[in-house]
Amino acid sequence: MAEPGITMRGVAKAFHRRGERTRALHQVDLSVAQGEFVAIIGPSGCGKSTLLRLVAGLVSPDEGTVEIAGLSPLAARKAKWFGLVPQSPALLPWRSVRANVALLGEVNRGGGRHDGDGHLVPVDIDTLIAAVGLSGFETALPHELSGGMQQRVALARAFALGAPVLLMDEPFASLDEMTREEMRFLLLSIWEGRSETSPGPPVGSGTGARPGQRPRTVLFVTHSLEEAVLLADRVVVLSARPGRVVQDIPIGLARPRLAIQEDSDEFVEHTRRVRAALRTGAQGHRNGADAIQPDRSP
Amino acid sequence: MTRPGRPARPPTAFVAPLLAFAGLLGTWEVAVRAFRIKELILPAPSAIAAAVGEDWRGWMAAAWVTGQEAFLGFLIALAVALVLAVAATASPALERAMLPVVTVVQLVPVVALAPALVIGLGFGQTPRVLVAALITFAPLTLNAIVGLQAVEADALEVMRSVDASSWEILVKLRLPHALPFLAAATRVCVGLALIGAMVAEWQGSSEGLGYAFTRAQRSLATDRMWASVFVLAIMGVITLGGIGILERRLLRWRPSRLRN
Repeated sequence: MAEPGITMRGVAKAFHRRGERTRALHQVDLSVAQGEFVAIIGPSGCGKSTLLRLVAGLVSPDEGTVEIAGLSPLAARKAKWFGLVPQSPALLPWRSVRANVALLGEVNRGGGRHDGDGHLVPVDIDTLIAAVGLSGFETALPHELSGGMQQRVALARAFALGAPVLLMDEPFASLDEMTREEMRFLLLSIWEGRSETSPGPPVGSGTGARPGQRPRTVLFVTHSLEEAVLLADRVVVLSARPGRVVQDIPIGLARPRLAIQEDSDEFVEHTRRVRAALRTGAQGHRNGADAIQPDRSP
Repeated sequence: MTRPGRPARPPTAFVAPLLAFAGLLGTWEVAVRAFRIKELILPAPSAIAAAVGEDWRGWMAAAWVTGQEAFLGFLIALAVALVLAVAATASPALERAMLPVVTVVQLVPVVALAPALVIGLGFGQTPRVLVAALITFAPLTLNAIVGLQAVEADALEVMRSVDASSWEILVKLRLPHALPFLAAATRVCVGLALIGAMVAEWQGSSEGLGYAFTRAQRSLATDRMWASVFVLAIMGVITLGGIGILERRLLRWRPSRLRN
């Protein structure tokens, strides 16, 4: 199975409500290489979540095409290529931590990763639970956990399928700043394969990233400039509604990313550039200007 | 990180309602004696208890008949409600067509239909079961629809993101989510089903608490009339207690249960 990248070409999406048509996205072109971590940032209501849902095949584009390694979103969904982490943890309150993490493995048994003999690749749920720091809570119910712990379960659930594409929609937005910080580094440690209990390799034979191995593709929607710069290889800035790509900013910070980098001049400079792009996008929208050329400066 | 334990049920949880009932019955007893109220108007609780004690086997048999009718009616209504709620969840058009009908059924005085049902269906248990089913159908259906449909949108999208089928979403997400809603409806329906079955027995029946009530009425035996109502109420209390135990076992995941 080829590792998927994501390609969007000329994608437009509008919603109809009470007879009014609202354009959410307009002429969006976006390419995400396999194994790349891309953050999507933009003003409220610019269609960031819609973009994510288009990739996941949860909504269809009015115009344009979306492909995941050559597959349509629906075909990729059928093959269980997506690990979705929504804004809320969306845990099933009647299921234990372990059962929630294992949930998506129990449905659509035709999908998922198979070995050469056509058998489903087993996922070690307890290793994943340990990787997100919830050992000892396997049998706890969601209401017995704090908000941050619930989001850890949601993270483990997304990794449990070993899906080659992670789609994350402001997953830490509802958490307090301290917990957000903690969750960002937890995500990085699992994705970069630094976690001591990091579960298996990505596509083909495991559930996560091993040290030194490029992990799965991530599309991460966020409102936070710092979060986008800290996590991503690239930050894609969308304009105000209808959202379109305003700038595409590579983040040249070395990996593995560490807390100490947040105080570096390089980090501050990247943050400044993303902020400027956001302001330009808002300005461009007000002036009705077309998309600004991608920023390819280092 | 420490795992919080479940708060224990306070040992005094049953004391307050028991005291309230004792107070009510005590006041009733004292008032009847103090004001010398005739038994024809309002028998004292002690007289009602004596009427039950005189023929407690007979009362048990009558309660068994009425309980069976109520339970069967409730089960039929629950099955129909679940089928309709699943259909309404699958098809918004069907839901739009169905909701006004369910609402109308809710507004129909089903108990008043009992004589007509007896004429149509005979003097057996069928019309009584049907009354119990009709009277509980609307609350069960409406709660089932809300329970199946009010699932968290994010949870639904997580399931859809891996192409879960409608059946998998129903079994893994919607039905467990609907359980607390059905439990709440069941609490309401216990009383409704028992009342429905009993009132239906007033029409041409030869068994059950409703029949005991009408027989006592014909001989102006108000103590036995009240006794049939008391037995029905006790059945309701016992059933609700059982539902409470089931809820605590099956719905212990409900956060609202922990806030008290």
